[in-house]
Amino acid sequence: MVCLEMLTLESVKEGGTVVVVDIESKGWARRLYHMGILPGAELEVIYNRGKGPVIVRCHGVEVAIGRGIARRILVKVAEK
Amino acid sequence: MKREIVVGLVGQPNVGKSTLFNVLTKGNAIVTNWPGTTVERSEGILKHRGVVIRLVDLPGIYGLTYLTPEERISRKFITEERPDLLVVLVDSTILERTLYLVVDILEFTGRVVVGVTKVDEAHSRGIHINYELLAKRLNVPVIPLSAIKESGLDALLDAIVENAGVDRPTLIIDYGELEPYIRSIEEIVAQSPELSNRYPPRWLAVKYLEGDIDVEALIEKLSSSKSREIEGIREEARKRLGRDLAAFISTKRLQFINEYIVKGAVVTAPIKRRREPHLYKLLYSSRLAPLVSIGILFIVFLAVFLINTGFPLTLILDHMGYSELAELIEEYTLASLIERGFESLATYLESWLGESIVTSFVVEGVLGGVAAVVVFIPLITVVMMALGVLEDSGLLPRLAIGVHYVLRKFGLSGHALLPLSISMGCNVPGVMTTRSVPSFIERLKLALLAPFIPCQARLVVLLALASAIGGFAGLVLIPLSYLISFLVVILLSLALDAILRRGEEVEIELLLELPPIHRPYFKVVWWFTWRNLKHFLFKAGTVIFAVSVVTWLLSNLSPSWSFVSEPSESILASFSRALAPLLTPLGVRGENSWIAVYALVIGFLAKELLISALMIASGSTSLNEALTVIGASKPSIVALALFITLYVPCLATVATIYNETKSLKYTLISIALMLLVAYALGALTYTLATIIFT
Repeated sequence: MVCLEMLTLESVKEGGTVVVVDIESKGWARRLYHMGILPGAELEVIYNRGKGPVIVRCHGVEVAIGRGIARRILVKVAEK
Repeated sequence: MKREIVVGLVGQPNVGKSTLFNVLTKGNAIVTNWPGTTVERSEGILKHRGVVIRLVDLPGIYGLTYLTPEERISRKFITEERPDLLVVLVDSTILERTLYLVVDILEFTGRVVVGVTKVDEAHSRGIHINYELLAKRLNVPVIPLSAIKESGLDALLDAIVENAGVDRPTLIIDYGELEPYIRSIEEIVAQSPELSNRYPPRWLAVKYLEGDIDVEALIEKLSSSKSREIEGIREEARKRLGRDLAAFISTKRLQFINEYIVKGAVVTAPIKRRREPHLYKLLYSSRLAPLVSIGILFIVFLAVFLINTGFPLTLILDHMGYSELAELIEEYTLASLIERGFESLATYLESWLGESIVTSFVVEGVLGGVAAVVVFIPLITVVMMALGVLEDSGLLPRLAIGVHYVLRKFGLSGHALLPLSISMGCNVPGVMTTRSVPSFIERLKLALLAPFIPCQARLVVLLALASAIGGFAGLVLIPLSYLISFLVVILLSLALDAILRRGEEVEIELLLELPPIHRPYFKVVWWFTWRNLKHFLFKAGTVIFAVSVVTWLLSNLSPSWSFVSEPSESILASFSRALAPLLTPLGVRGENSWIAVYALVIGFLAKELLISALMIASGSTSLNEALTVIGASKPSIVALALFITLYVPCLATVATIYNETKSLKYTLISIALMLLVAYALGALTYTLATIIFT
């Protein structure tokens, strides 16, 4: 088994594509699931510049995610 | 007998639900409240092929499990009220994501027709959908729609009439490893007829495993041995799968959608994906975004008030010495055109009816009341059109993001930007725009905060008072009043945050879907405007009219119910005399101090009337003279200016606050809060100013 490095969505650079591994935020998790952001989903990071929300594209929809929530979304780099 | 059916319209946010609702009902909806809530309920009545369709617009939901009070309404309507049919909308441009709701609902009920929206847009992007195949796989009718081109509407209405009340089998999704646990719970639940008669047992089992609070409550009502057994099964499933069951179930649903519903039914021609221009990134950047967002709103704000009142251009021109030009512009603004219209109507009525008490009642009381409502029409129309453009183009959520991190420091979110900035022009549309704020607590908070922002009418009063004081104090008065008002808003926001959230640790976080940016459709913008304007006219308008008429009567009738020629003999004057001692802490005392109270009461109708009320009641020809008559010293004028800025939202704003919160309690709180803050700050200012000036 290849062990891939896990990161939080907050630390993913702009332009990167990642796959969600886990969501640690209890309250927001369900909303994220319904938006299609759940383990296994591919996220393309459109905007992430240190401050302000992280903006991702998931299932063709852009979603702005506050940093507090992004910090609790664990991701890994997508295999090309 | 005529057949009548109840149809619920549901969909995820941004799928084009409101647009379709507006097209179907042609903008004629009955707007009420959902019982026990402050959430608006829109219902349209249509007739199709002899059947009366009651179409209910449900708040947008992502799935059946809810997080907010609005989503709870949709959920309860679907699972408890049980309409004859649900029209579930999906967005053809993001079919997979939006089908999630369809699948979630189909597991509960088969009384569904699926509407696929924005098909014209999907086609232009090269997305082709096999609707028959989708319908076969979902086992319910699937109708392609375009609300903008008004295509597919007849087919949808046909499908509604044909399928209402038809119970098709619910959808069964294979949840793999979870199946044995689902079946065990299903068996236990099926033994309780009070549950299994009302809800599909399998659906209860899946929703219980998902952690749905409503289903959890239902299970807890079973005998304690049964509910404990079911709880045990869920624990076991959690251990066995080693992960969050809600995530597992959601993943399975999405997989099901991809593999069994969409696969082979949707073909996307390889066309270049439109990239968002880099310019939009300016709206996301933490350093530039607040500037860009505020800049855009500032331009909107200026345009709105320039069209309506010529402000601030007239003010600038006046100061630069081009007072004739300023007057010319002022003459042709919408507000002055309306004012002149009413003036000539009043003159006409006066000459037609002849001079009598009835005439002055009709002209000043009734016509004045109508004018008090009508003057807001152009203002609200333009503000709502601007807001409609911002919203429909997809720009608004991006602006909210831009300022979110600045406003967060003050206990507000990015959504507060619009209501607060519009309030600087007029509090009425400011409070109305709180409607676009998703969180109910924040909406309530903004409705209470917005009236503290000095509007244009208050600026006029402040200007008059400033010139009456003159000198350095007069110069400082206006910026000082604004500064104090903003400080009050910030401090109150932080305080209200602590109170309204009642210590709950809720982070002001952002999770917002960004609809694609596109050119706004005029039709959609117009519907939005018309709906809000109609709302204002019928709801707030009646209150404004009624109170205006009553106040006219109070200021023109004596306590013995005869008409008076002098304001000082009126009921309102007696009332003001009784209250006058209250103004002592502001330095207004003496036998004529009632005039100040009288003017403040009139100012409640519209703040700009305050100055003329002061002059008429004191029988003066200038404001300076009036202030001398009531015996106001310099420190007292400063205190009065501050008091006037903050003392109470004007009548129209009060009516709008009531209209938006649908709560008498919060409306009264708003008035009490403002009076209290104004009084305290006014008294403090008087004390401080007395020290400074002497």
